[in-house]
Formats: sequence, C-alpha cells, structure tokens
Amino acid sequence: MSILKVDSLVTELRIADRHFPVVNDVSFTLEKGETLAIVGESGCGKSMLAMSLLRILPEPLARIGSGRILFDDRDLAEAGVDEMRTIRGKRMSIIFQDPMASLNPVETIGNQIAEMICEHEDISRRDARKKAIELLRMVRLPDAEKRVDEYPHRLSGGMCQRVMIAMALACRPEILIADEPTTALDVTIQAQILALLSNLQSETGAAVILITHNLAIVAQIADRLLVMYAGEIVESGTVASVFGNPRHPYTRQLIDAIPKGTGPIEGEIGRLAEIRGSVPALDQRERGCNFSQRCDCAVARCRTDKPVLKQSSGDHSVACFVAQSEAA
Amino acid sequence: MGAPLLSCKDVVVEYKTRRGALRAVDTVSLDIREGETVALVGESGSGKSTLGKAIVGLEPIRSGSIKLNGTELGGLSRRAMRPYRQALQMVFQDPFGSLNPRLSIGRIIEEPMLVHRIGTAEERRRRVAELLERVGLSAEMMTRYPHEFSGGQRQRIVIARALTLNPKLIICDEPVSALDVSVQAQVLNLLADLQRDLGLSYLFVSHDLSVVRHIAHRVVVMYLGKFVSTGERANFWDSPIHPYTRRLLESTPSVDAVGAPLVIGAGDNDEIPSAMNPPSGCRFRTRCDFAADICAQSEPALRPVGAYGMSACHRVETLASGAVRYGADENENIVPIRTVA
Repeated sequence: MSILKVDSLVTELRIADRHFPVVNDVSFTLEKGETLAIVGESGCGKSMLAMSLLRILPEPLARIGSGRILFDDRDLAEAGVDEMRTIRGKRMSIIFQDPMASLNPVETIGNQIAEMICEHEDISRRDARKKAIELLRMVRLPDAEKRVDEYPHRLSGGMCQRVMIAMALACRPEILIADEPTTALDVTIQAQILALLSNLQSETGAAVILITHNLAIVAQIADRLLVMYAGEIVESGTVASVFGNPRHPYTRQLIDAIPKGTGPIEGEIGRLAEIRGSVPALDQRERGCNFSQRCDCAVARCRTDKPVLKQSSGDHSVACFVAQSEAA
Repeated sequence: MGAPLLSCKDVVVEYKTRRGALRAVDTVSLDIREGETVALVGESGSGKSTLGKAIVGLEPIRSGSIKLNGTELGGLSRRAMRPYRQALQMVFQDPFGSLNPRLSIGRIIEEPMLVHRIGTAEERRRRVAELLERVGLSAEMMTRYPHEFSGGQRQRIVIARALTLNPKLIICDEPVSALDVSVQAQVLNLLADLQRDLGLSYLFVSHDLSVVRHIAHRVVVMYLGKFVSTGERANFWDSPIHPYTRRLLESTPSVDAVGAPLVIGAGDNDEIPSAMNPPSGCRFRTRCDFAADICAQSEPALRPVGAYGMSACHRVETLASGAVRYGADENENIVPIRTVA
C-alpha cells in the first residue's frame, strides 16, 4: 500500500531572475514500511527533492513549480504553512547529514527532544522529559538518564546522530527522510546507526526515504532505489534488480566507479573506472538526455530528444533510448 | 629495495590539556620506501592525521625520530627544516578549506616557489602551466579563482600545488572522502598516474578500507595512538589478523552484498574511548568481541603473525584458526558470537 505519491514534481531554483528546474518532472510512490533510496552525485537534486516533500525549501530562492505530493489524499504541494506544521515532525520527519549542526548548541538534548514532543502533543513538560529519556533509551544512548541533561558538544558525532533519530521518531512518524545520515561518521558507527534505523523502522512500521551517494549502503539496507541525474530519475527498481542488472549507463558507471571491497587483489595498483566530466550546471542542461555529454553509448537521438522513464520489466524502469531499444 | 625514504622510530606526539597530557600518537615506528603507498587507517580519534602532520613538521614530536633520506628532522628549527619541507608535501581532505578564496589558481600554485624563492616570474608561470596540465586541468585556468571550480577540480589544484617543488613524499589526509564516487575515482587514478610517472611515495590517511584496498602497497591500522596491525597488500585483506581490522572490514558496506545485513559490534554504542584515559592492557579490549582476561592485564606487542604481517593481539592465533562465528541477536543484527576464553 502506498503512503506517499509524488506526481510530476518540478522544483525550481531562481538564479538571476530565471527559474531553473533542480527537480525535473519526478514521479514515484513510497510504500508503507519500505526503505526507498535516492542516489546520485552531488548536484543531482536529491536533497532538493527531500526538502520539497517537507516543504522546507529556502523560499523564495527555491519553490515548487508544478506537480503534486499526495500524502493521505492531501496535496502537500498546495498545503498551507499551518497544515505543514502539523505534518512536519509528527507524520513526516527528517534527519540530516551533520548532527552537530542540526542540534541547538545552547540547549540540552533533553529539552530539544521535549520541545519537539510538546509541539505536537498535549503533554506536560515533566512527562515530555520522561518521554525524552525513553526515546534516548530506544536509540541506545548509554546512561540516558544522565545524558538527557547534556549539551550537544559533550557528545560524539555518533551519539548526536542517535539524538537526532530519537527526535525524528518521537511522534512515531509514518515517513522518515534520512538525508546522508551516516556520511559524517566512521564506518563502525555507520553500521550501528544503520542497524538502529532499520530496527526502529521494523518496530514503528515507518517508511524510510534514504538519500545517499553511497551505493554500498543502498545495496545492503534499501528495498528499492531511484537513481537521479541532473534533477531527473534515470532508473528505478528493486535493489536486487538494479544492482543485478543496471540498465542505465549512468547507473552502470556509478557502480563501476566504486572501489570493490571484495574479490581478488591484483599485483598492480589498479585503476578505477571513472565517469569523465561532471554533472552539468543548471544553465548548461540541454534538450536531450542530460547524461549524453558523459555517456559512452550516446547516439544522435540522445542529444535532441529527452528519454522518459519506461518500465522495462516488473518494477524496473529506465530512461535511456539505448537501454529501451535493447529491451524491445 | 634500498634504505627507506622516510623512517619513523618510536614517535610520540603529545598534546597538553588542562587535565594533563594527551598522547595522540604513542610510540609508533614506520618506514616508507620510494614509490610506495602506505595507507594509515583507523577511526576518528585514532591519531592517524596527527602522525601525518608530525611527519611534515606541523606537529612537534615529544620523542622518537623522523628521518628523511637519513637526515633527522625531529629536532630541526623552522629555518633548518626548510629545505626538507620541499620534499614533504600535504594534501588535505577539504578542497574548499585548503584554497585561499582571494587568490587566483595560478598564484596559489606559484606560492610554494615564492616562499622558497625559486625561479623568475616567467619560469614560475611556465611551471604553473605545466602543473595544471599535469593534473588534468588547462593552463588557461590559472587566472580563475577557487569558487569557479568543482570539488574534484579543486582537489586537482591542491595536488598541483603539492607537486610544485618536486616532492618525494606526499601525505594525503583523506584526499577523496569529501568527493562523489565518480570524482573520487578520477582523483585516485590521477594519484596513481603521478606515482608511476614521478616515483612519488604516499602516506595515505583514510578511514575508507575499500579505497585503501585499491591503492595501498602496505596498510597500517591505528587505534588510540598505537599501531595494531600492519601488512602487505597481497596478504592483508583475505585474513584480517586483528579483531579491530576485522571489525573495520566487516562494517564497510559493499555493493556486492545486496541485501546482506551489516555486521556491528556486540556492545551497545560501540565507540572509541577517550585518549585521555585509554583502557589498560590492550586498548581495543573494551570493544573487542574476543577479549579475555589477559587482554586487560598486559599490553600486546606488535609482532609478526605467520605470513600475514604484524598484529598486536594476544589472541590472534585463536582468531587466525578461524574460530569466529556469527549469529543474529534479538534485533536480528548480525553480531560476532563471543568465543569463550
């Protein structure tokens, strides 16, 4: 059962009085309880998409241009400020990459969590504090009773991220958006935080949108993924199907560029497969396929027409003329 | 191979704090040969960056010796250190923070030659142009400013600056961790090309074992200021001989492991302890899934283990015999099952 349906969403960024689409005609659904990963390089519009869903875009610099975000038959793209306030934090919440920067440095973590609870529930400060301690226990912060009165600078990065997760899950949201939640952490802590997230997810039944550039994390913890390039979805499908048979040249090259953690070690220092060039800037995007400038498979048509996302098999879709003609 | 290019012996780096001395690097020894890449890996707080800085003279050492081509650098004054500085260069993680936003790219790359009073203006300009081409940028870019470049291009500029004075050894402190995988691959390939063409040595400080696996001839694993494990490329990866190395490897997610759960430490909130007050005996024992009584009592020395390299672990023979098992805990996390001592 789908809980969120995004339909032809366009988010625009204003630069020198011109509007450029940073999220361009994106459609997808989020199923109840699943983990949907959104991957791509910096500048692909992943975070702008997340901010659009929660309506926390830096307006008026960025705005939703068109499209619908259907949550419970309501269109969040049209929702007012007050309505969004009742949804954000309560039914849909977000954790960011840098936990240190996301917490208020001059307030104890307990007060920060309690403030969040009081905003959405009719509850006394005292009970809110009790609930904060409970939440800190739930995210396995050691000595939760004592640490509830600590300031963020007294905690490590991993502990701060646990506090952020506690806060995000305080009101048992139906959707949790995790924007690069472990990028700033060591691998050992990363594994713990990801394990914690998936355990809490199965306890609360929340759906998770995981935004990351780390495909290895996606392979191990997500159910489905969307590959974004220059603001558009170029491939989507289940993790098994996309990693097993990547159809879009961009997805293939992204996977090939990752240094492999297993397999034989050759005698020579090996070269990695690289993707030449970089994501085109907003004002340099063309009529055709945005990836055509960097693509080894591009044909003439790729530079003039834009490929649309088409289902190739089951849940697997791809937006590439070459891949689509191979399938046909 | 002849004498090592760089030779560190029993290096100690201490920071003075209000609560006493903090030993960030505790009695470590390391050789780097010409044309070799040695990777220094460990979590935040392990002292890996501090050791890198101590080698280029950015942190004073408390005791021990650091020799470059046989010359002791440890006790040298700033002035006496100057000629050796040319041979030792550093590339930092953040290509945004390492470039002065108010200087043009040409001026930034020229700066080391100005500091060391090398060449005429024309010669310096030619060298800058050559360096820009060398790192895959174009000579016309020298009049531009850092904000006009992407993260990957900036890291190329930082590398060009490090190459200006023909160094022998470059300390690369997490040079690709701020970059996207696509760009990361470009920069790693550039470093490999430069090594092949110029015979450079690298000390590659990183927490990313999959990157290290790809580029290092030799690996050194550091934990709370100590080396816990070292090994050669050929035999380091298949048989992680220290429980900490094993933990790092297992925690690293892989694209080849679709759907496989991540392995985590058995304890809740498994974090590196404070270096102010390290655990007695083996420093890793508080997080180790295989710790026994002896691990709290005496500190294990770094010693050779079979053909695998060196390991500082009392129980490494037990572990090397393959007596490690994994199982699911009550939350269905995959955790190592403690073996009985």
